[in-house]
Amino acid sequence: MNTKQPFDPKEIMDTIELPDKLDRLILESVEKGYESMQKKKKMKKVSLIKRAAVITGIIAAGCLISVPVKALVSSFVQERMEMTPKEELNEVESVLDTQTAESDSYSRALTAGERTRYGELFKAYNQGIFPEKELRQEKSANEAQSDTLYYIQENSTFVLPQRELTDEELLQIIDFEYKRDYVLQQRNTQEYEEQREKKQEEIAAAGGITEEEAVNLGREWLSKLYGLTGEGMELDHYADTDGETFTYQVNFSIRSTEYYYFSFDSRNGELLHSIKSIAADLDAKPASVAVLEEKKEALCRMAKDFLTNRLGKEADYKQVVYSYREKDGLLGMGNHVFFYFIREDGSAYEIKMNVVEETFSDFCKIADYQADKGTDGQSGNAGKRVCIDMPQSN
Amino acid sequence: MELEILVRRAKRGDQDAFLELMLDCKEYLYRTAFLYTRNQDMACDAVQECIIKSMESIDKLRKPEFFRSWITRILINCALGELRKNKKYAGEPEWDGTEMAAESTLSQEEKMDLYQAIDRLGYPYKVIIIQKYFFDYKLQEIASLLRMPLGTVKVYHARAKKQLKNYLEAE
Repeated sequence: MNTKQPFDPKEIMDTIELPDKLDRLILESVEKGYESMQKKKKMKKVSLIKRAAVITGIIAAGCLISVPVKALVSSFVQERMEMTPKEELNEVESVLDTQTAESDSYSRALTAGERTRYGELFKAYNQGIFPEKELRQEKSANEAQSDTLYYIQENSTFVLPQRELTDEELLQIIDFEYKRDYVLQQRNTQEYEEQREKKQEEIAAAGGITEEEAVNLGREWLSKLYGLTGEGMELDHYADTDGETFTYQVNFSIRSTEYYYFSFDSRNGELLHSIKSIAADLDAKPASVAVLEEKKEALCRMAKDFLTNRLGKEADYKQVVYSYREKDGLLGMGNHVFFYFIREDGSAYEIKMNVVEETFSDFCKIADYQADKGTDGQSGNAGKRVCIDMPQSN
Repeated sequence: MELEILVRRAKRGDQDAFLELMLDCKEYLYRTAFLYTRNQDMACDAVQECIIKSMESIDKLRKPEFFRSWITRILINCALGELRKNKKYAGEPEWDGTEMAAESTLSQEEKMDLYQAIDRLGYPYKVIIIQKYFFDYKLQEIASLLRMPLGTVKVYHARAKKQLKNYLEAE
């Protein structure tokens, strides 16, 4: 065969026939993956609730000062869980055991208003505002309950009335979810603790900060970067020893509404990245690229200010690049723009800003800007990626 | 819906978003897996494992815009894993569909030669050749995919091309 004869890779790719069963296989795989994902999430939650139990015990003993993590948002919740009659928790557990669906579903999507109130009520719940009644549960679908919120045990479905849910009903859903998580954490504690201890031992062997110190750092950065205290938010933290660098992940969230992720180098506590993810951003109407062009200098100044004054990084970069996704003249990625502050050694600081809101969103320390940029070569559905040098004015 | 939005939703545990993502890239996933395994069953198994693994670890995906390279890395590992598990099938190619020959610029025999030559390449040469010539990846992107320095990938690329040429000439 003549090795110089050209071949068309696209043509070859197109000749690979897709099997008829591919869609079904994908659907089944996603279901399996989701089950696995849920189990993992529940395992993570164990850490939070278990820690809350310890803290509650210490508070009761009057030894708060010795606790590195001073306030955990779910201590009220922990108390409520512990006060829940054992029979009720046993009932929750027996329902869980009979269910084949690991994931929940809803008879309709929550409205924007319900989502907003869910977030607010989630905070309130963590601060001790609980529903007056329990969520109604039925073994199977009940046509007669058309205007009532209830939960179908056999397929783990929340049946929502067509009208807007009341605060009491949203609190009932939150309460139900917490009780179910509590039951599961009681079961998984031993296995999870073993995994957690193993990871902590790995980090301790490498030298570095403790998980408690990482949580405190998370609180400090939450306040410094986003102006939040974390009050009423769910806190989740764990050691991650899977990557090349051992890290601590500290996450603050209002379920389904707001998420703040922090990643710290376990060796010295350095902030590696912070990510803000807000549900409202997902529904934001795309702004035009012209809006960015108009605001880019002001946004760049804000990004520089964050970098120097909030994140404490020296202004030792040699080049600034801004980058965004564009499709049909509109901004992609929830109206965000990235500013890359590239240093002499090829490393860079990335600051992500919301163009419309004119607010800081994410920070990331990048070891190799060129390599990082190279991994994002495909345009895909998100639109074309545009990178432009920012004229240096300083 | 934008890829990033779907990825963000998937990161939050939205099953529907993950399904939509997977259906959007199903052709890419399957055909990539098939290029590596050249066997329908193995390609299906690789896609299935890739989906489950990616859902288990999507919380570690730092930036949604890196989704494609991130999932490609997982998929390649799954496909190579399938090959290792099923060594005995590796020599039984499934390229002989009659519909393939009709519009091809290469004859069936030439294609077979090319595929068999690619099959004979070891790791990471096979990844470099497939990703570069079938998916038009830049060497920088391949370096990132393989987590290797660019210089190393350049050397491997040259060696892979040389090996491929030798295999093809020997056919």
